[in-house]
Amino acid sequence: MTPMPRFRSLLAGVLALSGLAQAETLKIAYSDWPGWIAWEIGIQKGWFKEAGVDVKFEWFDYVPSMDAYVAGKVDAVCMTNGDALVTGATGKPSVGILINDFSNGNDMIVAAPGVGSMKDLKGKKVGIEEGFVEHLLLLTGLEKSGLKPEDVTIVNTPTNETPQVLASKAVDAIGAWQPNSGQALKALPGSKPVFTSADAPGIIYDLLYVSAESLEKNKEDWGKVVKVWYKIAEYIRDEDNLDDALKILSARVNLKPEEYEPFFKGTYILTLDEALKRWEKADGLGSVYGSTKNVNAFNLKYEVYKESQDPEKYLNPSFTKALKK
Amino acid sequence: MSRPATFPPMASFLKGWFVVRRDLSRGRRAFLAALSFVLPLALWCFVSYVPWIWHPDVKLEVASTTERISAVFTAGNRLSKEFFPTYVDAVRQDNAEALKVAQAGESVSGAQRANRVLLRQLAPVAVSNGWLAAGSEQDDAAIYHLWREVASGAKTSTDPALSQENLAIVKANWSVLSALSADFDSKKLPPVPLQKLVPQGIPSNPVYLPPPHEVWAAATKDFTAKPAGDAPSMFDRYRHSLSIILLGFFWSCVIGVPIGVLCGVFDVFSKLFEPFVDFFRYMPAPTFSTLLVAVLSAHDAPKVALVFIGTVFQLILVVSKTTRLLDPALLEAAQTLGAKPRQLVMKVVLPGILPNLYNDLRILLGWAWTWLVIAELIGVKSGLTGFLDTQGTFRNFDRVFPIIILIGVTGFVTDQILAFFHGVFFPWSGKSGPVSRAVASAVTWPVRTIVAGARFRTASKTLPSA
Amino acid sequence: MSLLAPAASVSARFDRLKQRPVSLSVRGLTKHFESPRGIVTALHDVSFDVHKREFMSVIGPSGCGKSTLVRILAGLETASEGEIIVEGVPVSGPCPDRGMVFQGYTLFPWLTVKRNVMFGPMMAGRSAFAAESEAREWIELVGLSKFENAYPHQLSGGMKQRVAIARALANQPRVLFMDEPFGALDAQTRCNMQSYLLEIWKNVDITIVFITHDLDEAVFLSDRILVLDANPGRVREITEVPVPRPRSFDQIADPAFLATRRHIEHLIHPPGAEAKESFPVLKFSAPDPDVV
Repeated sequence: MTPMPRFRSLLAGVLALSGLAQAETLKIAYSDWPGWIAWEIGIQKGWFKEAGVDVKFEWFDYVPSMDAYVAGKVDAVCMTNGDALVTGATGKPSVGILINDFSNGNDMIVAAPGVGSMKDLKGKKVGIEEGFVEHLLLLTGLEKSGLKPEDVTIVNTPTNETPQVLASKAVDAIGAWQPNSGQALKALPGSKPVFTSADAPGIIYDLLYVSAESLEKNKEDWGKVVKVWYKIAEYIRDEDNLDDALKILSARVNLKPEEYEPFFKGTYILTLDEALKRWEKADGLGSVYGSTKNVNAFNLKYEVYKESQDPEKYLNPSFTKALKK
Repeated sequence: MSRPATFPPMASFLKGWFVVRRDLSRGRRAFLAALSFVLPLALWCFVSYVPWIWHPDVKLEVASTTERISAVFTAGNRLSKEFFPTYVDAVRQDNAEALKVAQAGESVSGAQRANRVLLRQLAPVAVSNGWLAAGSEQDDAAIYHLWREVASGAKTSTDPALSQENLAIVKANWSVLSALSADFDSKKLPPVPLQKLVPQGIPSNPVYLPPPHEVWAAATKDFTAKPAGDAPSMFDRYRHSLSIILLGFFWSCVIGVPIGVLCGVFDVFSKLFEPFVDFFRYMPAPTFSTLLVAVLSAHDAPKVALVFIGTVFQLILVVSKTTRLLDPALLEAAQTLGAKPRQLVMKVVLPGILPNLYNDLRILLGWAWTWLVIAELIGVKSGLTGFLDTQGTFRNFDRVFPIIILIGVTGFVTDQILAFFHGVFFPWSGKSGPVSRAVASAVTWPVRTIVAGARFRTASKTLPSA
Repeated sequence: MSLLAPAASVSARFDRLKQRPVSLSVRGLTKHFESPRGIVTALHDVSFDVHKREFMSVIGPSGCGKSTLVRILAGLETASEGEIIVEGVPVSGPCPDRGMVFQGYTLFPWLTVKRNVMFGPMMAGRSAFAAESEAREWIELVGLSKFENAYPHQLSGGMKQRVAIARALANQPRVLFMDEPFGALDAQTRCNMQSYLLEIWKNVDITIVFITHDLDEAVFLSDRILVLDANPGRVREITEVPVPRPRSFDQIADPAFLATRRHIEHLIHPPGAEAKESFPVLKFSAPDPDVV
């Protein structure tokens, strides 16, 4: 009897134990998009503990949340499908496992009084966060009204500062999502949205993107997270729960419930069946694959990054499909 | 032509105040010090409460939502005087349409939910009149009854007074509601849209200059409110901010003071460290923020590190300068008394520079305070700045002002207290007033008594017994 | 070289003085330093001996380097050339063997009088208890026992200087250097301090080298006076003071006192030198016979 087999079995035992002992806390970065604020309902009601998964949600501004993901401080981040490509090309790739919603009006270009439509933006200044989702929205809007990107001057502005920037009249329009766009509309009375994601539905999908390493190690736990999400989605759909939901959601972003209620229209939170439809591979904005391909082409055209990104690598429908009954 | 009788006394009175390079009497100085704070406050009150001065906005007391305007206004929001009529007209148009639909009699989908929200329009009015507790804005049952009472005249709103137009709307709505149910029932709400209350408001200054009483009200509310869930209370935030400043300053002192003293004493260290330190301090500390988050983590460590980086380089240069300013004759005297280099540093340099070092550190603590807001914005926003930032973005400046004032008061009071204690700790610098001397002797009394007793006992032991 | 034939007792005293062992011996002390105008020689080939228990003053015109000399002797500066020998042992650098009293008192402001005087012994490693009782004795010698727990800023100038002397003496140095110690005091206090210093010197086994610019003070206090020349600083003469001890202020009118004083004055300010500087004749008012 050689000592080696004994040593090997001991080593295997130790490794197995360490694997068991690894009940890792999943760290998720979220920010102030209504589709992600909805996670707060699950957090407040303790549904994650009920489901037996150890998660820690960390609140950031949108771009800093992606920075924290790239720096490895969190395992997952809530991003739009377009911004996942941008962070993947320039920092760290990720895998989308859950579609929270698609943007249906809550992303908007808000213009100061005097600017009636996208066409009137010619030769004017627009404050947006360069390279990210509102930039995509602006370029789409310009294309649809027959303008070229060179026709407007972009002023790089963090999204949560766009209300002040618009009110100070330093720019003629800003790009932001709710609740920031709502603040901008209030900050400069008479301003109005001239182009929203409702004019191009499906251009922006919002997902939960997880790092490949964490996904590998904690497949079961991430599945539980997805399950809790659909519990949240069902809760919001029920009108009886609306007031309770509004209380939690509006408190997260310091709004009054009546200010938050209109957001439900502009952020279309998908039910399980609706989501499964969007997971089917197809071209066109009705599928998350098609939408991501569209964004990739856009980003290459406007040189947000140089190398084409493969949508298949960024999307994993298996977690949602596993919930199909 | 004789001068008016009042003129000469006035002129000589003023002359008594304006004497070149002579200190005023204590009473006059105290008066001016008080005036220094009272005048800005008075100006603030003046601009806030005299309605003819400025006041370009309208502060909403009754607010409505309308789809004709993309922004959602609630009670307490401000909008410009020019825009207000547009807003009111939009709501009036909505009401005209609602009446038409109601007369046509067809049910509208979603009208029940919309009406439920509409009824809550009365809630802010009810809260400011004291009919409803703040926080019960979703208590539909209570609000339902309030509609009845305002309609019947049992309750009259005084603050704000509802306009005739709105009173008529309340009565009209109540007649529709009471026909369906006397009490609140979410299923028995009208299936057609009710009329919205027309917006009402008072003239006010823009949102960034709230009147003093609003600032005070917001301050009391924020400081006494119980936070939701595990969100930090205001005192927790305050403590958190204080801890970041004090930790950052502490580490700056621990690292900076020894290096500074060594640079001041030994030319070797001075020429080795100071050029680099002098260069490094010109690099603005906020530029390190993303680097710090990447290296350290997203919680307190990068914030403390930022305060540290912002302070330590100035501290080293200031401390080394103070050390160099020590009278070199003291060092020479110590050398002639047999002090070796290590003793020179520990027994002469350090005690000698202590009063000035204390003052330098006191001033640098004030300097470290200026990094508070920038430091707390890194990574996960926390402490007072986290609150400031969200409230600032949502333009709730009445909640922002108290925090700013609190930070200012903290820094100011701390500085004054530390300045006073200079006289207590360092009576030999000759700058102590009678109060600090009294404090010092009171504090050291127990020690002195014990030492005197010990000395007496030793002395009586060594005396020859006789 | 003495000027008048000294009294027999005085010359006998000087004979005994010269037989005593040499406490401090300075040989060929030279000091150069660089300045924008080139190399300046502050001291050139200064040599002299100081015997045990002697009181020697150093005097000279301004710029003669007396402060530089005493600082080199105390070890606070280094000489370019030359030797300093204390009781047969060559020295350099500061050492408690050579105490120093400065013009600006330089008491440690954060220490009480007692702790100031304890400083030297504590640096040498004595225990606090022993140092304290020694310090008490020295403070009593200078007559400040009542003030032993006072801080320097609470004392007058004369008192501060007495503490400085006590502090220097507490180390029991072999030689005590005093660099114009009474220069910052008013005339009355200065006189008192001079008498006091002689009292202390009488009661303590100490050799004193005293720098001053005041002729009366030098003649009053010392046994011998080292007269320096300026540009460069060098020894002009070592004058023996023929005034008998014990000294008192009545002796100021004595012929011996006056003659010594006049002699040194001629050495420092040769007559006819005033002709170098002449003031213009001012004419602003009519001549007034009372104001001439």
